[in-house]
Amino acid sequence: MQGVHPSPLVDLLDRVLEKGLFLSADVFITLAGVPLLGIKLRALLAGVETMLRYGLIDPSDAGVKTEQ
Amino acid sequence: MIAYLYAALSLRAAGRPVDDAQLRAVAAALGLSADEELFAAIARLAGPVRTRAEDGERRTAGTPVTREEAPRPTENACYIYCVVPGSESASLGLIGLGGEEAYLVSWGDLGAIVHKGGRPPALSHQSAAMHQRVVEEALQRFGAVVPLAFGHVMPGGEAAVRDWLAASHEELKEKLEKVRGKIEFGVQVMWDPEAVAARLLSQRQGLRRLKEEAQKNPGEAQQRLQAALDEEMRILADRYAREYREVLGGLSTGVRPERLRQAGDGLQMIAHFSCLVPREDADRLAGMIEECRRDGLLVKVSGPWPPYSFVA
Repeated sequence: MQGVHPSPLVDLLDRVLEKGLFLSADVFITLAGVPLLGIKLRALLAGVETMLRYGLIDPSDAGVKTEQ
Repeated sequence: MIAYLYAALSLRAAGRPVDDAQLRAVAAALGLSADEELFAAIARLAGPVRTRAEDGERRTAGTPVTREEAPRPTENACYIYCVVPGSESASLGLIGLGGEEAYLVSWGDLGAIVHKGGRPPALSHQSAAMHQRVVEEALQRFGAVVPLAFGHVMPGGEAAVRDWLAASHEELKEKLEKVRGKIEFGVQVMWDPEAVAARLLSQRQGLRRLKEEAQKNPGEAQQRLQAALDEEMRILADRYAREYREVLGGLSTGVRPERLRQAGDGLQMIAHFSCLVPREDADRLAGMIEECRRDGLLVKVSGPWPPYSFVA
């Protein structure tokens, strides 16, 4: 067996973040920065580019270039 | 900070590519920070990948429920790492996030490993690793563990943790029994798609003929060749995936197909499984994988892990 490009961090995050037991947010504060998430994550579903276009993200803060 | 992943997964679900710059923009929007390596890793995890019918088995509960009326951080709260069988009071020492003491809060014959702290922790490579280390220690010490995903903070302190253990006792007990004495491995099978394509083109008569036609008459014949080649590769990849699944199934009490990730360096992942293996059989796993080794396939095994993939 050849050790091919081991990426332990990816394997770690895959388990620690995406797996394990997830419990209801009614009982738990499950996410860091919870107060922010409701509005902004919903906006994310519309796409990051859209957010940039409508100024939900300041591109200079984000350090990304946009075609505005 | 699971927010990153959530965001990235949402983008992917919408069929959009996810890259490093986008994740950075998301992070900035959410007022969060993360180290460079973490960004790259999440981009790889959530990046565009080939999906298979098997992915249909993925649970939907993995998406965190987010509500604006979710509990607010309070001082009297516990961060929960995992659930273990154990009723005596016990401390794992100062190995929790931020050097906090990780200790057992029990109800009946069940306990949760927690640390006292009011705020959800920031995610970094280091804090993810510390969460994992506590779960690992708990597994060593108590022999079975139901890991929680990173970032669960329960307001209300130890009393609330006990209430939760009491209310979920039966369900948690069942999960613990399922994974008792077992550990998890990740198995990824990869190949070099260019090398495989070249081999198929030289070996398969049908493809050779199409290739000759395509050389004489590019255009439509070229498209037919590409379609036939793609199909042959898909069939071969599926066959290998089935073979590995069978082999792993012989030793494991559970085999879960996982999402195929980007492999990097020109490689393509063709099969990805999580296996739940009885501890005493763990040594045989590597040997069995070696036995069904084939030319041109690269197999990577990660683990042993606590049973993260088998507690949903």
